[in-house]
Amino acid sequence: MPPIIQTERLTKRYGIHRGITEVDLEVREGEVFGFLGPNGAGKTTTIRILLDLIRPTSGMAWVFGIASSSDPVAIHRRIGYLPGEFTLYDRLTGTETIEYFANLRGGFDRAYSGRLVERLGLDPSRRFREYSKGNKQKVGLVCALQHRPDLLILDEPTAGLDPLVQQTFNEILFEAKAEGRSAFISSHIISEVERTCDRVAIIRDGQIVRLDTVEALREMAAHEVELRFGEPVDPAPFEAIAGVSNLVVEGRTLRMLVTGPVAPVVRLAAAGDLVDFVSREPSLEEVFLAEYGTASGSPVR
Amino acid sequence: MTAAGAVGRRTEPGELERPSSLKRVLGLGSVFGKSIRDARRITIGLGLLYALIVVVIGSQIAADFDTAAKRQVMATQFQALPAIFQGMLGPAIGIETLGGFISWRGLNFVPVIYGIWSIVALAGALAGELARGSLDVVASTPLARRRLAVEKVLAYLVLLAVTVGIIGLATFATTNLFATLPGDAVAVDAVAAHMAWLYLMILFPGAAALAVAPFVGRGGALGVGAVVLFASFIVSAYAETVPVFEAIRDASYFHFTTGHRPIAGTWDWPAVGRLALVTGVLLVAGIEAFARRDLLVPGGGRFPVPRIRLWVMGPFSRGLGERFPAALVWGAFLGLFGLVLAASVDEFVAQLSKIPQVVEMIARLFPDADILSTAGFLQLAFFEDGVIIMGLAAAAFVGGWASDESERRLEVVLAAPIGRFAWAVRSAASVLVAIAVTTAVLAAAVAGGTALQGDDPLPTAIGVSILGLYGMSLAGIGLAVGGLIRPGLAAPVTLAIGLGSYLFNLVGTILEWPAPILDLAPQRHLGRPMIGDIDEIGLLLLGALAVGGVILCAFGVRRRDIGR
Repeated sequence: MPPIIQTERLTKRYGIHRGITEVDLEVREGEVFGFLGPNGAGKTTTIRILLDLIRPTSGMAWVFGIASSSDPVAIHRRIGYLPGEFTLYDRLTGTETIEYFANLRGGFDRAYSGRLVERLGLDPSRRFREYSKGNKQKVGLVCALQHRPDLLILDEPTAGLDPLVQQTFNEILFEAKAEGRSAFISSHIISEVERTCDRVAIIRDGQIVRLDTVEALREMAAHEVELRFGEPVDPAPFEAIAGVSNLVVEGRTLRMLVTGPVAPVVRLAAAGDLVDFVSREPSLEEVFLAEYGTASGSPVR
Repeated sequence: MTAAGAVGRRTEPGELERPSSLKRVLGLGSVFGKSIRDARRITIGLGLLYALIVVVIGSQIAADFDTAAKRQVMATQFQALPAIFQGMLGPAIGIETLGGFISWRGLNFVPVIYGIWSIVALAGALAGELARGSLDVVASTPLARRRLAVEKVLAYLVLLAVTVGIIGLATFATTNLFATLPGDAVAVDAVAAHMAWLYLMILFPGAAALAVAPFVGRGGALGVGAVVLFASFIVSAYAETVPVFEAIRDASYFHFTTGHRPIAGTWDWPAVGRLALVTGVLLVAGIEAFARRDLLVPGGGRFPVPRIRLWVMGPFSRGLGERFPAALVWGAFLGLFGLVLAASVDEFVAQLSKIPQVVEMIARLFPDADILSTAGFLQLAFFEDGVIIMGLAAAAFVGGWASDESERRLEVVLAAPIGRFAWAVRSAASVLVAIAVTTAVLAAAVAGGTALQGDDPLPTAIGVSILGLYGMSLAGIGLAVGGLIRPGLAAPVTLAIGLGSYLFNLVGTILEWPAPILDLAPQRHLGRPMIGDIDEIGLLLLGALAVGGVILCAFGVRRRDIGR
């Protein structure tokens, strides 16, 4: 099935400043795709190119198979967009703001918008300038969701939302996915991406350094393994196993990091007087921090 | 690798309420409709304001000069004035008729005052929304970028047409209802032709601002629009007395359309057509640039200021640091005007001395001063215009001050251990000091020009300082309103008083209103400082307005809610 979003060697430079460099991405239909990276890594630049708000220095981007610069209106017709930083019209109320953006898309589905407003717990009667940051975010979310777009492009969607509303947002996102719609979510809140996304790309200094499913990324990271034996054990055979590092001996307990399959470690331990075995799967956060902490990432193709 | 054809499918929405035609034209049904909705009140207000001025001028002239003989005397007197006295109103064409007088004394200044509106509206139509951050959301809707820009620009064209239409109706009604002499009544086609010129004159500087806004941002576009407006206006107004201006006056749109005053009986469609063509090209250029360029707030092009720690020492230095580049630019812009005028005095005096009647008349008007000196010339040619431009500068600085609160920076600042009163006093003081910086640059330029003529630069420097004090007094009023009521009112009030008092004085003088009423205009208390005529009490009053405004502002900020 052709991808919903596809980029090929997508590059953007702002004069002497780096934007993004040769970004290759594919988002599949019906997928929730997470785009992880710290501030200034290039997430928003990528999104703005997809929407044709800015144009690439080189490379190409397609959304729904349409080149982003060739027919942006056709793309916009099928997407819902929430920018990372935005302000709308101070003097309009929440209802008026939502209605205005609905009208720009051809009409106002009052009943559906009303349901979104209710689920997100927004008081739509107040003027935009009177809203708190979280409530402004809710208005932006309703504007992005109310026309049931085929593709949601959301830049930091839960910024400013309280945990309950975040949960509601996740439910809405899962419903959209269940209906076969896709989402491209930029975030630096790793736990959120881990909960909601099927696949994740990690962008660093404008380049994609990891791109895979959440599970695969976890697999690629080191597991923390703790082995407790009934009698003292020689650590040397464990150290010799490929992927084992940071091995520490504390009496009859061995602690180590295992990158890749854990089975060789388990087999060797089972051959001895193994009393207890604990293996903790790394979180996406640890994967992410490892990418940024070790500075060892190399761009993927 | 290339992507395949269009994929996926569109999920159809449920019951859609399509926006009504009314909402598309005047409401939230389209970008055009929203733009009209947002500006409808100011549009009608501006139309009615000048309509009232037209009616007042027309009715009074008809009443006071009710015979052909009286009219002819009045017209002869005005037309005998050298260009320097006619100043900003341009040549007095056909002023013995009601239409001619309204055109000269009433409508000729509209392109300047309402040109500012045009610049602000069109510089901000797209670049302003981009800077605020709302344009990204609008541009992500199924609305082509070009269409978005066209709808925004078209909305302003319609709004301007409404304003000019109201003025046109008032002009037609006034010239026909108050017609007392042959030639007073003006036909509808002449009014329409006159309004077409007026429309383009107001629009032109805004179109220039729109054309450059995608490259230089909203602030830069405002500056370009202002330079186009005021430079063209000043060059045209003083071309006959300043040789440098005479050489370039054909480039001024005020000058090359001088022959088109249909309600005064002169027509020049080719000139209006030329203006229409250039305006249209600028509008199209602005729309195309917006459609083709990245939606980014331009980062470069700002006046460079050394990055020094001084600017982050506290609320005063931060406020001054924010406004310092603009203060230098305002001073340099106004100073260049003053320098050119001061350097042209000898030529002017030589020309004027050839007309003994005029010299005699000047002596009658200004018995206690040597008006044929550099200082006297500057008082006439520079000071009166400087009053308006200083009002604009004051409004710009006050607007910057107010943005600290309206853009929520103030909340962060006040979270530091700084009292509200202290913040208000220091930040408001930075506005006054910014005006002082503008004044200092201006004074240096004008005094330099005076010195080049071999005259004593001190009186002109003192005169310019008083202009600065006037700017500070306007800022004081704006700051007080911003502090006591809400920040959003600060700049509009400053601007309204600056321009409004000019118009008030202009109309009141024509209509010979009583002195106590005319004296309500602040600029009537400036004396004639360039020629040493200083109104001490007036200066005290201006100083009190400036300082008192800061104090009132601080009291207001201390007691009211922040972030309104």
